[in-house]
Amino acid sequence: MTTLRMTRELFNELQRDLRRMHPFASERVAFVQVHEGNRGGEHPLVLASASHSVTDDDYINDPLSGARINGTAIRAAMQRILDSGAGILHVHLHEHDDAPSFGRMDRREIPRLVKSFVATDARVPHGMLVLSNDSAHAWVAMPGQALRPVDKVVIVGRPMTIIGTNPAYRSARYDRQSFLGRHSQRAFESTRVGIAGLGGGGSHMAQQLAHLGFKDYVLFDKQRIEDSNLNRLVGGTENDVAGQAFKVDIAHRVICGIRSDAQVLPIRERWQDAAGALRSCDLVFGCVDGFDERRQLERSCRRYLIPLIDIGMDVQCVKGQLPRMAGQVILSTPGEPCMQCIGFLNEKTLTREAQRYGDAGDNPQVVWANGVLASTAIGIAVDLLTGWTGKHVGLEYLSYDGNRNCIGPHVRLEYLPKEQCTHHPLDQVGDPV
Amino acid sequence: MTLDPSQFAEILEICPAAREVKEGDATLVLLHDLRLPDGCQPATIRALLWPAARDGYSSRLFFSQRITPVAKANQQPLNWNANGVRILEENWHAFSWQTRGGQRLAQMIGQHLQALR
Repeated sequence: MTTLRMTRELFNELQRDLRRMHPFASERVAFVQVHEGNRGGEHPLVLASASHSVTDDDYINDPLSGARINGTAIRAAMQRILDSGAGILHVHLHEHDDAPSFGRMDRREIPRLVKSFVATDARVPHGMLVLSNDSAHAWVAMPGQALRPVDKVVIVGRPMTIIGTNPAYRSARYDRQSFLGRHSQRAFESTRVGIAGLGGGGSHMAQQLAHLGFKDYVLFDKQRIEDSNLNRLVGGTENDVAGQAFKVDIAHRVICGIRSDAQVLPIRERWQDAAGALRSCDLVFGCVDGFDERRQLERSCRRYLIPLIDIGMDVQCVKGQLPRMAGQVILSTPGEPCMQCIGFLNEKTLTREAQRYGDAGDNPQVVWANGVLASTAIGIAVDLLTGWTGKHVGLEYLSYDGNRNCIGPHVRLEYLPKEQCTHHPLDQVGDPV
Repeated sequence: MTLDPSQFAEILEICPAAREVKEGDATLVLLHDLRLPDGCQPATIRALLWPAARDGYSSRLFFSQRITPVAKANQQPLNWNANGVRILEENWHAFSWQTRGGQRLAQMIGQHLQALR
């Protein structure tokens, strides 16, 4: 199951480049730099980091071909492979809607080029990519393997596009959410969702995703349910407490009770100990404790071009004052500002957390606040995958005030840095070298 | 940002297989087969130097596994307060140990290893 991921920004940049008129060529060609991810795992990844144009002078006037490039352009691509240590995809555009495919000439000519890329450096993936107005299709030669079609292409951004082969579930079950768009059920069914933490927040999410029709889940939590979880863990029962059930197994049961054909991978470990499974997810929900774990999870998600939706809550109790309940929902999209850019993660809070290590106690948690935050996160995920609200921002930072029962954009969004995120450079995508 | 070559050369004297690596906007030093003080278990280890401020420490030295130092009378046990922390797609462990700021990279490593003596 090979997946190619690229950011929406890169997809748009490629389209702009490939649509430019050329003095005589009727099509254009570009190259995309790619990196291998999840090496040796069940779900290999090809992660795009940058695009490279072909200059006007490097096209050959050939009436039999839409776009024929010369040796200078090919040598430049090969040199880039050597300089960057990354692989290359040959890219062109078919200007129509829906899934594109390679034409007869593409299938005959481009693989020869890919062969020379493989000869330049066989340790990295190389291949060919064709874009349409709203979709993409790719063939990739992973290291040591033949050139073959990838199973899934994911355009990461807002909206997020998942191009796979999953046929949509047909039934009246989803009629009342058909306003989400004609491709919405296909998008939900093609998305592999990961939930890190199946406690108060994650258990709500698992249930709601199943109701929406999501079909492919990876659940991470090493904990078993305890009596003190029954105040909020959706689906948990006294019998589960008596049987010391794992939280992931409870979520598994809830999901399959709603959608019996769901594929659920319950992992009774921390997400850090099942890295390959996390990387295979197209979208991750973070329901983890603490700032440091959020920093780690965001870093891993950015490295593998996975959008992360984080939720969290806390109750501050100051002597002589009423308790203050607050929380956050953050959408962190690769290529967009991150949790450090928005100031949510900073050295001060991370230091404070590290200093109170071992003395943090149990954070207060309540079912309705978990529910508000989880539902909001699910709403963001649905919008990300369907684009039904027409929003295009890849960053969401919502602040929850539990005392006033309201949730809205965080004030920090008004003071966002103008520069691109430097905390997670795109050239570091893929497995560390 | 890259590390100062003269400082990196000093690290290579301690650990010939050391390598400069990037994680986000941080520049780190990956130390393959770092030799630990005599009597430690294991004797050599894969380690990662985070040479900048992190979690309230002026620098941190992470290890691929917990280390058992030489047992000594009246010695405080190490406070392993970073356990399975994900950096560079690996899980790392570190004990609480503050080093002086403004030191050269090799000195930083030496100061962290001092805790194991």
